[in-house]
Amino acid sequence: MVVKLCLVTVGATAPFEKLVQAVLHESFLAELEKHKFTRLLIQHGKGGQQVFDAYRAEYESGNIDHGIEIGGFDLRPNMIPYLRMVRDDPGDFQELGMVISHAGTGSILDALRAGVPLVVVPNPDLADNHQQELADQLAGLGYAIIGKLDDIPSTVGQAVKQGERAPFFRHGQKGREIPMGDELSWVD
Amino acid sequence: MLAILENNFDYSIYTYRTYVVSSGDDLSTQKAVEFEDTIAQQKDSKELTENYAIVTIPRARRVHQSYLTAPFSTLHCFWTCLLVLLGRHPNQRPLPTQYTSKHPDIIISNGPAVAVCMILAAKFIRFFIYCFRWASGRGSKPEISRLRTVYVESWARVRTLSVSGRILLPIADKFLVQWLPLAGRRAWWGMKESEYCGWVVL
Repeated sequence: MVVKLCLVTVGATAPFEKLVQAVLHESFLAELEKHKFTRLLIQHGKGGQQVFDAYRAEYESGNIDHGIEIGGFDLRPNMIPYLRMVRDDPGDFQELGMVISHAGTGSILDALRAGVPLVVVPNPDLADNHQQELADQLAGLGYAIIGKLDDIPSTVGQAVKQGERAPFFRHGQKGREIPMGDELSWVD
Repeated sequence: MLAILENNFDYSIYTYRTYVVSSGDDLSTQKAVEFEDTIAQQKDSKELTENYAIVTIPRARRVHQSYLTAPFSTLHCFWTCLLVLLGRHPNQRPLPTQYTSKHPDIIISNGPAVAVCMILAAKFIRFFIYCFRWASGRGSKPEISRLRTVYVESWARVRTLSVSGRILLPIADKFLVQWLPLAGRRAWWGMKESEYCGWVVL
């Protein structure tokens, strides 16, 4: 069976319950199903634990019905193995999935390095406007999609579309060298 | 920071590395050790192993620390930076004999308050070296400058400089930014400009 994963990450620093709530909403799950996603994995942090546990309790009581396998965990120091699970692999066991991330630099960079479709959701409760600036700039370049908390479901279609033009956002180039060789031979 | 070093960093030029880590940041220490291990494996050469040191520096201001005591802890931080640049920090072992100077040739940082202290300390020492050379009458003779400072502004900064960046813009020898809107900034008229270097973190 082919796995197509949607990974959600809220980072380590600030709680982001609203995002966890939004991705557990039935409209979002329906949208995932429509685009043939099979798994939803949520790094919910301490703040999202309660929301996630409540959802699981309801799921186990049989009130919710959908074809998506949902998993969640508090936090892992290294998210890269999870991001690899989002990538498509040549063996055809994985299809290219998507990442929904808070606007933290570390999470965004990890996703860009993995070269997977990325939705960035700035946290409106944080008065950190340079994160918004970064998100806007990345969206302008086509490297990310900006998601709004009240309209997360619509980002699934956009992310799938971004994945179709993978060669564009997956530039795969090695990072640049820092131009500092001239400092070494400085004479004064 | 390590992502910057991973990209095309030439270890035949930068043969000895000193990593400066804020106290309590064990994750960074661990990452630096792992990073050096991968280099050692790549080079597969005995002489290149252990060509590094990791020093921990007290923070200029701990999270939630009072602003009243912050100047004192900042001074403590600055003092420790001076010790590192003079090669006298307790975490440093004696340098291999082929190195003629105790000072690093180049200091590169992208970071928070500790980085500001380190670059200020480097400038401070250079000022003394300059005064000494001038006083001993060797001021006219050119000499290779050490303790050159390079600051890389955070990738998260697109249109505005960070606080560290604003402090260091007139001070660092080379000021690099990763977004075009920040290129060409200068502290005031006639001073050197910030340089655009692309995404060095990716």
